[in-house]
Amino acid sequence: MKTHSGLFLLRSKSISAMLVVAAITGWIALEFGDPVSSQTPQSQSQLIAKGRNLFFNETFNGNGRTCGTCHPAANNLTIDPAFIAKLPPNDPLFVAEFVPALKENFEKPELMRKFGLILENLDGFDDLPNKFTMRGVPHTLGMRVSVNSQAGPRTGWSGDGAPGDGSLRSFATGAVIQHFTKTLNRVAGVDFRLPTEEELDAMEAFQLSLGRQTELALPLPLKGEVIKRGQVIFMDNGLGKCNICHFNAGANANLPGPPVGNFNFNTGVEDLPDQPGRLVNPNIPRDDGFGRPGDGTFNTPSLVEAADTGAFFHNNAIETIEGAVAFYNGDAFKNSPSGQFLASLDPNRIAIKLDATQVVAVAAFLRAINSLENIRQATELLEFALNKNSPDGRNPNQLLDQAIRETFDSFRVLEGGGLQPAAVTHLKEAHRLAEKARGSWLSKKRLMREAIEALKRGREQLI
Amino acid sequence: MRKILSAILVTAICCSAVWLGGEAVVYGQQTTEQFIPMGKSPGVSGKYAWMGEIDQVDEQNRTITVKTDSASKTIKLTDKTRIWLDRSKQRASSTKADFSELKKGRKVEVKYVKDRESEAEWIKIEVAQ
Repeated sequence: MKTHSGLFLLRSKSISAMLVVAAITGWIALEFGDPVSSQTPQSQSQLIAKGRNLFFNETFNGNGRTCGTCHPAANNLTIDPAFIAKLPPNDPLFVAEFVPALKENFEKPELMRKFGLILENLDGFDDLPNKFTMRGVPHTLGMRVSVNSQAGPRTGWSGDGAPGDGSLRSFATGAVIQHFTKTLNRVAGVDFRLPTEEELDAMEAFQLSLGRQTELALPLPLKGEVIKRGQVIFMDNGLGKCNICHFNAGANANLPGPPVGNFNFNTGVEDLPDQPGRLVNPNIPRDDGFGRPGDGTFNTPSLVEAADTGAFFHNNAIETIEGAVAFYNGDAFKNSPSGQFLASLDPNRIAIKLDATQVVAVAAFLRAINSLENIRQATELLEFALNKNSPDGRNPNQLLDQAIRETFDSFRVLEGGGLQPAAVTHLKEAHRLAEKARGSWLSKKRLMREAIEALKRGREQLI
Repeated sequence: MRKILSAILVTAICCSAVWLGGEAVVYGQQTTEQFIPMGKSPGVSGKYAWMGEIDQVDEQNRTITVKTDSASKTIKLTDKTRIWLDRSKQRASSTKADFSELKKGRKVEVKYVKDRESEAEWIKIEVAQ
């Protein structure tokens, strides 16, 4: 009996153990499931997933850089001095510091580290020591709604960033030649390999999938007096005049007739005094913008994503969103072709003149719509993670990581302007819950759902 | 009144788009084009550019006639036409060139100017191994 009892007990324990293992296995399957990519067989999803992999991992047999080196997912697809300061010294961003062949005339390391500036040979490669420009790295969010123009696709800061047909699809080819090369000879097949047609398709699909897929429709029913006033000033074509060139706070102009899409303007940014880059190196050549030689114009960036992707303008001249709005009060803009034109149409011959409170109000509006976009993205990412329905091959934890970053930005941009403290409280709670979900095995889904609810409460304080 | 002023402002901006630089035609950042081997220019090769062998060179009129697989095409070079020696087959860097490098028998890729098919935007000349 003892034996039988013992055997029964043993069997009972074994069965219990098996049940526990089965339960845990089942729970794990429920919590994590298969990799998301295996559940998205649609060709577009697969193409985007392929593009994502190329964008962040493919070096094209070059110096070790990928597209993600300058457009990291962990930093809103751009780089800034704070992010750069955290990178290890052997990060491929710094190849000019440790690859002898790239030591001269490939980058300006001091300007990169202090101001996030990248060297570009936009006017040709025949005089490398003297012909170059130093530009910031634009994020690659919202490309679906910011690249097209009546005159063709506009990429990069001056709208002419791509070789070939000038399209976003061709952009990667020029980037590989400019930034990925092992030596300054830039020989395809030796210093790098060029992306294939299929790779260009995939990277284009990935870039178009990033961020907003549609324009906002202003005015929004926003909350908060300063934010609301900022929106009014932004949209007032006789006061802020912002909505003319940044229609719906995007990258497209708002002119009568058929949509013109993205537009180039000479706003005088190159004439700003005391530009940070030139304080370090007064010999930085003037950036002549679009064309070769350039006509002094630069294309219009989207503003929805601006507040958390500074510094601002093509040369990272201004660090804060308030400073970027205030730029339009200054002499550099007033004396520029665009400023003079606006003044010629104004009854008081004023281009743009906003008092300090109005500058802050417009910036508050931009901070609020940036936060709303962060909330939208974070919510979408959490829902994708919950439903294991990623559109781009990322697994739930990768989606959750990105949601955590978006949630962080959603309150950071508000806090930076002292805005909507109640929203900040809810968004911080959402961030805490999402981070907890990231580390949790037992309550992952519940915590993600709670994070979504907290995001919703935060959003309700904004709109 | 403010709405009227706004409408006037917006209309005026539209009319002055060219002056502001908005209507400039986008050709793409052509400086890296120099390093793209013949036949590999994305969205251009085989579409807005054709390859062939130089059959005739008219220095006086600055034109070249190129035999392609299907036709013979004459194209004019302007001050804006860029010419490069494509040395990728030698595993060497592409370099700038001038009209004198365009010689009968040389293989070239010609990109024509948008909407002006008889005018060359750039020409790549193959430097054989």
